[in-house]
Amino acid sequence: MSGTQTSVVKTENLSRIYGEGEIEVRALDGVSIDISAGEFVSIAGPSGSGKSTLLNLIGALDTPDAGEIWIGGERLGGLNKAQLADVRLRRIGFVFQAYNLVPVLSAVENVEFIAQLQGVGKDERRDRAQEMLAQVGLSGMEDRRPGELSGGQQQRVAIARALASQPDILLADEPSANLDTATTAGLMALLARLNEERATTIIMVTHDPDVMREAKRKLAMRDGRIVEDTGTP
Amino acid sequence: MQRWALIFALATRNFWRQRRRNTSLLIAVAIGMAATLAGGFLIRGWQMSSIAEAVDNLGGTIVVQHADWSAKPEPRFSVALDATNRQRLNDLDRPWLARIRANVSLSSERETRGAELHGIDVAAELEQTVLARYRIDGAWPDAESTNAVVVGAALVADLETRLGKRIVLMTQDAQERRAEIGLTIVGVFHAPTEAAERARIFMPRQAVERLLNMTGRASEIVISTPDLLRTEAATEAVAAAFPTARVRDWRGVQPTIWAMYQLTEGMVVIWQMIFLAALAFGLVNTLVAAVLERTREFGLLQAVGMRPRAILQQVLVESWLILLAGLIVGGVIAALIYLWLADGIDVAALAPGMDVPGMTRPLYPIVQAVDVVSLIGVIALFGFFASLYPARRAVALDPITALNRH
Repeated sequence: MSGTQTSVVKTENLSRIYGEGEIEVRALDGVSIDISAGEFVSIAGPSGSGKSTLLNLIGALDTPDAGEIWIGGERLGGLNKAQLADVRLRRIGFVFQAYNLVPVLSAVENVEFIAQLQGVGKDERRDRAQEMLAQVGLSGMEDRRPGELSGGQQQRVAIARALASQPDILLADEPSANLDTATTAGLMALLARLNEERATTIIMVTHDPDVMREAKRKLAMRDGRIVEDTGTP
Repeated sequence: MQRWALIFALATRNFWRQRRRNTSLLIAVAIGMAATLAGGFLIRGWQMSSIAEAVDNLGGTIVVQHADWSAKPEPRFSVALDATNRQRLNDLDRPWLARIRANVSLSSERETRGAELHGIDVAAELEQTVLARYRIDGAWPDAESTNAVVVGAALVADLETRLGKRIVLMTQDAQERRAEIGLTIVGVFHAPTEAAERARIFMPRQAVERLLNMTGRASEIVISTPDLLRTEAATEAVAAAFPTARVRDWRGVQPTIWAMYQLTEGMVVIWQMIFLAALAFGLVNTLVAAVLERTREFGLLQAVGMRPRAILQQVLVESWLILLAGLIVGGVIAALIYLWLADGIDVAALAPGMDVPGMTRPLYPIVQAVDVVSLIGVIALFGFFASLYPARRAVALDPITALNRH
């Protein structure tokens, strides 16, 4: 390849098929996108349109049946499991719908543990974790375990965790699905601020029109294809 | 280094997360370890006790006999105790005993019984053999006594005679002629088993030499070596010194004892295998359950970039932590059992009915470092392989499926 110099995510004719024969489902059908550094992209579409499949492929959690993916210029095709894990560790931050915190770790340990996997020194990662928790409004809750936090607080810990590893790309799969309106608004403001201040590329799958509004670029999907792409830089 | 710190932190906290289940497994490992070790200590004790008893009965570890003695244990098949052989024995620089043995018939006023006559050097035998531990009514005879005999209590009862009474001994001498002598029972010995009391009678060797026309000869020469289990080199040296004689160590003379020793080695292995199989079952079960319960967590770890090898290591470390804790607790319990039994278990009460080798004296547990180290090593290895399956299951999880699991 190559993607352009500012391209962080690039896909070409990406296809993903589940099942086979009569029950074959074409979840993605020749998707090509190019996302530049610092973009805030939302992906919307009805259930089964292929948004989460696309996010999983970009996040190196899944492999396509056809097509190519480049993350920061690195082609994912041909990488083994361990190499894909490295790509996720170094370049990608995840925010999941269901928070997915490690229950035996405290809030601050959850935030710093990806940095620990990256080999960041103890003091630096603890500083980063505390700073991130402060940014998401959780100062003073560092030592609480996930079970002692509300859903919104857990989601903020998950965002802090994703950002503490200083990823090039933040992938969020319906991060507000389990949150109330006020918490969702706070979360979106936080993501917008991080996108502005840190120039972190954010790609977010959502159904929520209020959440979508925060994104500068909006992709709409249907039947495994991108049917609308507005706000392209 | 940091990755290992994280793995250990997760593993130790996950131990407490499933406190009840992991503690149950830990207790099972500890009990299994303690039982296997303590059982091993006692089996070793019994092995060594039975060997020591066999050697005590022989009066040494290596026996020199005429080449035909085993097939025909008769006085005519003997070994010369001449100057040449005495010099050979002295050159070996090990304690030795010479003994004359013959099958005899004993008659009292009322009964007749068979037994094996042992012509012994009383003072030396009382120093080196099991005879020193036999309680005796009356006394052991002097070396010069000509008509004195010591008989076991059970045989005395069978003959319906008693201490101080006379009995008649009949046998064949070295020239296969009839030999007969009237003897006085000067001592009645009490052995741990009635079989031992019936099997042998004792007279001074010089008197038996004269009775059997075996002056300057012996049925067997018994040589002592310090290590009961390492007799091969010494046996070869004795065989080289007595090339025409038949030279065997205690294993050859008492093959049953040696077979039992080897059998118990197998029993120890079987005992360990049963424990290890139970351990592997418990370990795999517990870890598979842990992996299934934490499917989402393993999916998350994969998703955020933890390498498959690190996930594998995490599950293995969790398994090893439980094993290690179980081994330490089990080891301490086994040590306490050892200290409790260190003064010996009196199993002699069982001996008369059982006549089992090694059961005629207190049973002392024996700790052999190689047993402890090899058991720990085998458990570590077994634990590693038993944990591999659940660990590989954790690695094989598809992160997307795992994350979406409820």
